Amino acid sequence: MKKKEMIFFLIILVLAGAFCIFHFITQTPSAVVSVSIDGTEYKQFDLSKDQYYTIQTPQGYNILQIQNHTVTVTEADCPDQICVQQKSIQNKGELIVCLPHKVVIELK
Amino acid sequence: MNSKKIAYCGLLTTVALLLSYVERMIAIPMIVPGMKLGLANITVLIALYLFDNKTAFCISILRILISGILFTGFASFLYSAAGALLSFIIMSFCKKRNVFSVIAISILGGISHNIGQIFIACIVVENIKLFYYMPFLMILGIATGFITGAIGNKTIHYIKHYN
Repeated sequence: MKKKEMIFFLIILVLAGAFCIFHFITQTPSAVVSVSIDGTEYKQFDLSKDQYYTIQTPQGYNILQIQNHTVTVTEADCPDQICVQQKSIQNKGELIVCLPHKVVIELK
Repeated sequence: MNSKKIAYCGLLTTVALLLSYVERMIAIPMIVPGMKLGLANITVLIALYLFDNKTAFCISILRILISGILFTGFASFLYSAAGALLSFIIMSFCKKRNVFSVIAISILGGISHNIGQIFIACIVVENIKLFYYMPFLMILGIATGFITGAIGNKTIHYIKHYN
């Protein structure tokens, strides 16, 4: 790799890294989780109440778990299972996305 | 199109398919959902350097089509196709300039693959907030692009040397 290219990618790395650090420092716990399907809001939940909820979409289901102010998807019938493998989320702005079902779970 | 080239293309497509299968089994800790190593990009890179744009494009499209049918399903196929298309356009464009090294092209390919995927994901779920993942994917794209680029670079030298 040439020196110029190295510098170029290093600058991108530093910028992205700075953004990530900024993001981790400024994150605050969220109180409300909003679920939207295909771009329209479907339901909102309060994070203080522990519960399970089944999000039913035309393509399939995702089971949402709220526990100790964190949100996870415990089960889904989508082919890639990316939403299930994802770690639990608890801070404002964090997302869990199920692309096959067009579900976006967002903390507000 | 001689028989040697046909054999190479078949081999590269098979290796690409195998790599995308292997990649699905490697569980990297999920910093960003759905992240992958992009190992299959090595074959596209090799095809780009050993042959021409057209061949590399065919291998890339064939891989995504077949792995979509065999492993992933339609939804993931759409995202891989978007990512692969953008990354191919960027890589072939940069290769034509003739000023970039193999590793740099691989990194650019990795980054543009991520951008293409996020873009399509945003359109599908109609939520612009997915771009929140962008800085994380940038870092990962550079890291994985560097690894695949280094492997591709060595392989290209090796094949050219022994041909």
